[in-house]
This record gives sequence, C-alpha cells and structure tokens, in this order.
Amino acid sequence: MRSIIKHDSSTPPRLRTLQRNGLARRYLFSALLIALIPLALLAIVYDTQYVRVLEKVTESRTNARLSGAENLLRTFLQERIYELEGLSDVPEIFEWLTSAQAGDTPSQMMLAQLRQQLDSPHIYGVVTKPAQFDQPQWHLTQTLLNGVSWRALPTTRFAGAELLGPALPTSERPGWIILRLSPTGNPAPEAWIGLVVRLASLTEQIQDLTLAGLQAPLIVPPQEVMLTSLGSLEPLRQLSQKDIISRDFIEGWHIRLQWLGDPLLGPLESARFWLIFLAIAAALGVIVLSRHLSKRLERQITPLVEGADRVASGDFETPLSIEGTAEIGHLSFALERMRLRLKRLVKSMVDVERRAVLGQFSAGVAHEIRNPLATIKTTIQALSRKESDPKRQKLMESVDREIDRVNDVVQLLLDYARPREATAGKVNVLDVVETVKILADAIAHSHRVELIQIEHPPVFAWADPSQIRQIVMNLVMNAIQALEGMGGRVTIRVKQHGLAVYISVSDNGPGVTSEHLSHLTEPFFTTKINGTGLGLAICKQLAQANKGNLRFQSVSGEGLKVTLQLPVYLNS
Amino acid sequence: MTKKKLGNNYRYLLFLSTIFLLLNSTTPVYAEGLGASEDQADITVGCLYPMSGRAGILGRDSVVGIRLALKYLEQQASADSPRLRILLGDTKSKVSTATTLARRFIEDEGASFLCGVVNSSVAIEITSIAEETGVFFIGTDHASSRLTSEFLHDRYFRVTNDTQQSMTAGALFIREYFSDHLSQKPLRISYLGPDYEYGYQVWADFREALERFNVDYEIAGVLWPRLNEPDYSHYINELIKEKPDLVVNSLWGGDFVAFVTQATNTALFQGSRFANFEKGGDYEIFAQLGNQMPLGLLLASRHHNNWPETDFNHWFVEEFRRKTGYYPSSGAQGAFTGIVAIAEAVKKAGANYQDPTAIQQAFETLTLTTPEDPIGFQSYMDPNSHQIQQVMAIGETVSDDRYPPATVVLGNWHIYSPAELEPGLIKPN
Repeated sequence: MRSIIKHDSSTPPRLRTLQRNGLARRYLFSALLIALIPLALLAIVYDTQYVRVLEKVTESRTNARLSGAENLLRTFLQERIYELEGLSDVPEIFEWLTSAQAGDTPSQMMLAQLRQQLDSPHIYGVVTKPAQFDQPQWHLTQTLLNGVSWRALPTTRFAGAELLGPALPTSERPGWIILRLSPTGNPAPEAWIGLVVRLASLTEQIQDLTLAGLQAPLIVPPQEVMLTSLGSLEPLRQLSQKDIISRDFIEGWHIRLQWLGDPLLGPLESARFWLIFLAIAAALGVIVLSRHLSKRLERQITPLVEGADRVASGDFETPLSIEGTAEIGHLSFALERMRLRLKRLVKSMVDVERRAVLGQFSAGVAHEIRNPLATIKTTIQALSRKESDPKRQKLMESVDREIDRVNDVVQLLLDYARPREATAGKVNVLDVVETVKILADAIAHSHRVELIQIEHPPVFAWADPSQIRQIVMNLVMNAIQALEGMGGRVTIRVKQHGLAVYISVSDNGPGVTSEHLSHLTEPFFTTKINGTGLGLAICKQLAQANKGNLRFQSVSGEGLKVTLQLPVYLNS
Repeated sequence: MTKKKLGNNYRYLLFLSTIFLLLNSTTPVYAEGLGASEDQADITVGCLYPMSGRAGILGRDSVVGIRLALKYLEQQASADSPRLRILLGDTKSKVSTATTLARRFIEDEGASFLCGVVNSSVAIEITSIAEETGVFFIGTDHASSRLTSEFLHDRYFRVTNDTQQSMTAGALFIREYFSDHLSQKPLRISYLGPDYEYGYQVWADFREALERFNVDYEIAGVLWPRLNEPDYSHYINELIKEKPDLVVNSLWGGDFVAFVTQATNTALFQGSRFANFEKGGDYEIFAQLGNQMPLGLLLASRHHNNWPETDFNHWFVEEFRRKTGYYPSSGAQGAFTGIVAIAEAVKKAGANYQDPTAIQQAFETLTLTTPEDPIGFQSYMDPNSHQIQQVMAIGETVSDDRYPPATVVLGNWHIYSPAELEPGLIKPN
C-alpha cells in the first residue's frame, strides 16, 4: 500500500505534514465513505421506489385500473339485468305483469320464482308493477323502504333496462338501487319488474382501487353524493387537484379517486422526508464522531511525539504521560519504558566512561603525586627532627599533616577508581555500629553533637565487615559534619525486615534539597566547603559490592536520613 | 325484447325448472324423523334449521337439542303426555328452500306445527306460510322483533329471546357499564350488522332502547356487511377509522368467528370496546376461536353453558356433551325449549289438542322451566306479543378452560330480569 506520508528520508518529517496526512484524518475520510456510500445507495433505491409508487397513483397507471373498475361495475349490473330478463320471461310473471287485475294476488309458483332471487347475496328483493296496478308490489324487507319514495329516485337507462336510484343509505338501513325491466320493452312502462339490488354489492366493485392512506375510491351517483366502496355515504369534500375523475360508467354515474390529503403529509412522503433527514443526520453524526475521534487521537499522540522528541534531544528526565486508550495507551507505556531504559543505559555508559577516565587519572596522580609526596614527607620529617626552633617544627608538622591529607585524597581516588572486592561473611551489625560509635563519639562531642544508638537485638548481615564499617563511619561522620557549628543529634538505628538488614543514620540538621538529593552519590558532588565529593560515591560503590544499596530521604530544614540496606545472614 | 329471444329464454327456464323439480323429487328434503311414528303420533312438528354452511353448526346442535327434548319428555311422561313426531329439514339459510320445506311438511306430512328457523328473513316468509295455512310456528332461534310485532299472528310464538329483549338488556348494560364516560360526554357508537332483516332490527331495537333509557350517544358509523361476507378487512379498517368508543356488532355464527379472527390482527379491539349483545357469546364462537378469542369483549347469547349454575342447565350441557363429545351452542337449548314448549302446550290443551284455539290459549298462558332459567325464575309467554320472557345475561370474555376446546368464555355477569327490560310487563301467576 502506498503511503501518503512523503518526505525526504535524510531529513525528519515535519510534525505539521505528519498531522495533515495523519491516521486520524485517513480514518475520518474512510469512515465518511463507509457511512455515506450505503446511505446514498439507500436513498437512491428508496427514491426510485417512491417515484414508482407515485407513478402507480398517477393518471397513466390509474386510468387502466379505473377502466377495469368501470368494466366490473357495468358487468355487475349487466349480470343482474340477465337475471331480471330471465325472471321477466317466466310465463307466470309475464302473465302477472301484463294481465293481473287490481286486487289479484300472485300465484305460489310465481312467488317461489321470486323467492329464488332473494337467495342471492346481492338482491334485497323483487318489485313487480302489473299494468293494471297503481302501486308496485314489493317483495322486500319493509325497513329498506323507510324514508324512500321510489318515484323520486333518479332514473338512468342502461343496457335495455332502467336503473332507479340509488336510494341513499341512512343511519337506519343500507342503500339500494332498482334495476327494472318492462316485459314488453317499453321505455316508459306501465308494467315492469325490478330487482332491488344491494348498493354495497355494486360499490364493492371498486375496492381494488383503494390505496391505503393515499387514495380512496368513491362512486358518485346522479345525486352528486359520494359513496364509499362499503356503500356508505362519505361527507362531501372539495375536489382536490389530485383527485381523479373517471368518465361515466353509466350515464350520470362516475368514479372519483379521492386523494387523501396533501401528499407532503402523506405517509410515504413523510417517510421519505424522515429518511433523508436521517441520512443527513447520520452523515453529520459520522463527521462529528470522526472529528471527535480524530481530535482524541491527536490529543493522545501529540504528547507522545513531543516526549519522543525530548528524548531524542537528550532529556531523559521528563516522564511521558501514560494516557490514552487501548493501543495508544500501550504505545505510550512502551515509549515510557524505552525512555527509562535509555536513561539507565546512558547513565551507566557515562558512569563507565567516567570511571575509566578517573582510573587513568588516579593512576597518573598516584604515580606523579604520591612519590614526590613521599620524598617531601621523608624530608620534612628529617628536617623536623633536627629543627630546634619550636615555631618551625610546628610548621613542619603542619606540612606533614597536609601531606597525609593529600595522600588520603589520592587513596580515595584510587579506591573509587579501583574498588576492592568485597569478602562477604557473617557480620554482627550491632558490633559494627557500636565500634563506629565509640570511634566517632569524641568527634561528635567536640562538635556538640549527641550520637545516639537505638537498642536492638543482635542482627547479622551477609557482607564484608570492614567495608560495612567504612560505610557506617562515613555516614556518621557526614551527619556530624552536617551539624557542625549548630550542634544536634545523630541517631543510628538497626532493623531487620524480611530478608534485609537496614542501618539508618539520621540527623536533625538542615537536610538536603530535593534537587541535590539525586546527585549525592555522584563522584565529586559535594555540598561541603572542604569535601572531595567522593565519600558517598564510594559508600554507594561499597554497598553495591555487598549486594546492598543506599537510600536518601530528606526534607529540607528537617535533616537527612541515609539508610543502608544489606542482605540478611541466613543460617542455611 | 324480440319474440325469438323471449322463446329462447322460455325454453331455457323450462329446462332449469325441470332440472329443479327432478332434483327436488329425487333428493329427500328432510333428512330424518324423530319421536313417534306417523301412525302413533298425536301431532307432527316440522323443524326447519340450516344444517350446512356457516350457520350449519346451529342447526346440527338444534337437532341434538330436539333429541334431548324428546328424552326429557320421555322421562317426564305421564298418561296425558302427547306423542310427538318431529321432522327435520335443512333450510340452507335460503328463503326458497325453507318455504318449499315448510309447505311440504304441512301439505304432505300433515304437520300442525313448524318450529326452528335461524334466519329472520327466512322466518318472515315461514310465518306468512304459517298464517296462511293456519299451522303453529314456534320460533326458536331467529330474533327479529318484527315477527312478534309487525308480522305477529295468532299462530306464531317465539320461545327464545328476540332482538328487542337482547338490545334492551344491552342498552341497560351500557348505561351501567359506561356510566363514568356517559357522565362526561356522549358515547360514540359504531354499528356493524348483517345486511338483512335481522341486522336492521337489532340496530333499530338498540337505538330505541338507548333512547328509552336516556343513554347519551352519537352514531360514529353504520356498516352492513352481507351474510357470509368472505372478507371483513375493509369493514374493520372503516371501524378503526371511525374511532368509536364502542363497536356494537350483531354478526353471528361463522360470520362472527370470521370477523373476530380478522379483527384480532388489527388495532380494533385496542382502540374501542366491542360488544355483541345478541349471539356473540355463543359457545360455538369460543370453541372455534380457542385461544384467539380476545379478552374483555362484552357479549351475550341465548344460552350459556356456564350460566345459570342450576341442576337443569348442568344436566342439559353435560347430557349434550355425552351425546356429541362437545359442548352445545345456544341453538341446542332453543330447539330443546321449542319442543318442550309444544309438548307442554299440547298437554295443557288436553283433549282439545286438535283445536287451534285451545293450543293458542295454552301457549299464551304457558310457563315452563328451561335450562337458561336461574333459580327462582320460570320462563313465561307474553300473551300480547307471543314472545317468551326470560332473564338476560351479559358477560365479559374471561379465561376459563373448563369447556374445551374453548379457553375463553363469559364471566363477570350482568343479569337483567324481564321486569327490568320491560317495566310494564305483567308476569302471570
């Protein structure tokens, strides 16, 4: 895969460039693509379907369905007319219609024929009007005639018959129509037979035109009212531009496809609006989320980059912030571990180098200084023995002491550069401490310092006794010197805890600042005017040689506590 | 119309009529006769029930009810008990078939009683035949109140509740059940009834009762699906659209089962309360719908298997189940009562049992105990309307698996006595 981070390999990339082409930004763009492409596809598919649905209800499609419904309506009426023709051709009925006199009653045979019609679910009843009768004879449930004057019903000619009605439905009864036929084919007949047809059976022929929530089919009869597909009356509404009106399927009767409200508020349009809204909201959400993630990544990565830069420029002291989630957290932890290891590595390399230089230097100094000093010392001592003048003799003794001091310093240098191997054995730590105390008591007293040893049962360490004594003596002397001119108290404590023995020397002097505390064991670092800066360095060296270590605790102004840790002596 | 066409149609109809007559002459119009033989019978009763189609269960159960009635009469028999010959005919819920059967029972078999008829439109035709021929027509399961008012004649008596009684009880129930609602606003009611005489009459009687009891209501819509409607979805959608407080429905039998089955998958029962005070609480509905039957519907019927808890009702229900392996629909008890009522009236007429006037008087003063009579009540005939007076029970559908396969039956009963339904009515001693 081609990297989008481009830079000259001989020079480090600039942070800005890296950030501009960073992982977070790539993640943002990828996330946007992943989220938006399916959304866009979904929107396209939905919109296509929506347009199809719209097409379905537009005139071009609807006209075909309307024609189908008109045919169904006409066929339904035609079938009833066939039934009526069959009925009117029955001889008994034909005779009844044409020859019956006022007061005559129909024969059982004729009534049986009429009852056959009542078995049809579409027929409420039969009505006959013999030529000699003033009023028609209704074979029908009387409830259906409530509130209807058949003479007032609109009349429409259809397929050789006449359609009377509809008698509109009321809250008491359903609506109906009469299909009537004259046995003689007379258009304004004196004698006729009619079928009372269930209006709902006619109107249900348009049920297939229903589009739930979008379009309701209605039949508009000559009375200009609106009948639903269930045969009930629909309240009159203003004709909407979206309403579709069919041509008359029979004279004066047509279908109206009523658009149910504004399409913008229609369920499909509403769903479309919400889908688009959701798509945009999702895209914005993805952008915001990606940006948030990008910022978060940047917030976590930037301190790491800065920390790595600091390490690269030699600052091993400032810790890296170990923050961030998952991988970033692991990365920062690894970088911090790398910084600490680098710090130790560099420090030990410097130490080794310093020792090497110091060793060469010490050897040179020892060779170049000690021999002349020995000569000078011998000479001074010889001169001193012959000198009678007490003043001069005193001067010479002073020179002799200074020569010893120089020699001590040189010895310290040599000890530090070429440390003696520790010869470990069982050490009674209390004996060591008591010996040191006896030796240091006089000096302490002269410095008005109280030297205290805290009592403790015998404790044994596994170490070189002379080196341990040297360390403890050094620590006690340092503590006494820290109290020089002010007096005070030096406390020596011994304690065993687990597999370690602890000897601590604490004073109540001025203490050491935290800044100096970490440098105390560095060679040549000293806070004293006449110090060499080698004492504690050698102590640390000796402690390490005995598998122990030194720990310094101080609060500035409250004294210093130095603890020597040694391995405990185990019988086994 | 041309003469040629007229001739063609005439020949076509002649052919059809021949086929029809041939079929009628070769196929028995009544399946069986029960009770006494023709020679031994004191009286012949022609019973007309639909035994096929959606209403068939009612007719088939009615036949079992008749058998139980004959057994019951046999157990109660005394020296003066009449011997009944029962003829059964399947009307197929058709006017033409029913009228043909009725005439044959009367003219060919010498029946002096007709009984049964579930469909009210068919019953109106049959009652006119009864009036014309002078035979008694004992209505058992049709309910249009027009038969005991507009079409009433001396020979017609009904021994099951009619639409006026059930819808009066329904109106009283509404006044009581919706009292909180009614104290705040009118009750919006949608009505859906079958598109024939019975449906119209239920609606008319219901509105009349609501007005009589001053129940404040508004009509949200009125729908008329035809009998045996194959698909109620458009009607259910319309009812949901109307958003009434209460849907009052008067479908019965298979139509009601089909309606409730379709409606359970819609929001109808959640949006409105639903009531059928006529035959919606018939056991056959619960048996067919099983665990699909919604809870909380307000229903009634002409007989309940779990009410009243009397020995007689328990005997009737268990005896029916022993004979058939299932529990009875309400038609069975109607037919049972019809036959028992005929026997009782004939017995009461005594030696004058051939005298129609004596029979009529016996019926007009008839009192008898039926399985649906609670303790302390006896059904009685109103001499003016020829309509039997009984206690009405309206309940709510509740879970109850004592009558399998039904898992829901009626409970939380509201009981209405005839005196509450028609305060002016005088009970005979």
